[in-house]
Amino acid sequence: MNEKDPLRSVLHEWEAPAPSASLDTRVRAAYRAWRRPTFWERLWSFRVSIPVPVLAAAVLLIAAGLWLERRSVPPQRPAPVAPAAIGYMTRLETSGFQPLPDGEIRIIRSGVKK
Amino acid sequence: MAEDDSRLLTEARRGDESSFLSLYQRHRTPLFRFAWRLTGSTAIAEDVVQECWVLILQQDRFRADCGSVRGYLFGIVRNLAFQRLRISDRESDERLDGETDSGPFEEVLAAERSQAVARAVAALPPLQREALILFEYEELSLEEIAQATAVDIGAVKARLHRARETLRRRLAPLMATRPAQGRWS
Repeated sequence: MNEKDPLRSVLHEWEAPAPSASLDTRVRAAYRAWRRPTFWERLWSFRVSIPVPVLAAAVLLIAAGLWLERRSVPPQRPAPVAPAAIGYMTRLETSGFQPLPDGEIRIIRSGVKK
Repeated sequence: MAEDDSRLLTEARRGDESSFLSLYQRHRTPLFRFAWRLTGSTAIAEDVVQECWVLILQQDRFRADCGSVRGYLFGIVRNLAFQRLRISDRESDERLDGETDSGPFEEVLAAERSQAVARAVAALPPLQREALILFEYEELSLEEIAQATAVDIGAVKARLHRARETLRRRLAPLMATRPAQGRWS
């Protein structure tokens, strides 16, 4: 079965044609049809079909809901504070307050006895 | 290359189109030639090659430790081609009748010699024919032919030997004469 075998030379006189370019197109299309799309490809091409009457009804409902909500909201006023609801009240009366003329200010931490 | 083929196939199955195209470009012409020589029809050979690529993607049966991707591909093409031949029971008329053309004497002579070889190969029993085509024209190794045809290497050698002996007898007149001048210069 070497290269100089006369049978081999004769056999190679039978030449095959090349495949056509359309084969490439067909195979590529077959691959794309087989391949599962990625998440983003699926997301991008995601479609939902809704009948027009259903879509129109949904739009009308949303619009009506928004309109009613806007009309039913009363003008806002500051809420009065009920004194009875408050348990403790601290009042600071500073009238007549005078600092000591030669007073020495000492800062004492809470809980420290001197 | 076998490892590279295997990697490309894995990536193609994951959805990488460029890997698929690399693998396809590498094997498209040999696969087409093989299918064409088995079926004798360009249209059927292209259908077979297309179907082969769809099958190798759909089926996850290839195992790298059981042979090469090339041998696996040729095996698929071989099975598909024989399926088509069984269905259509077609003889290779398209190939044998379509190539006679008027022209310079050397071209006509070369075409006649080519057709004589084609007829002699087509007349071989199918199992011998496929072994001879894979070995002589597509240069597959004996191991790859065994993988593609699902037999052991001993059977491949026996088929090749018988095919070559048959062809040596049938093509003896051609071997005794030189091909047309200019074609092999």
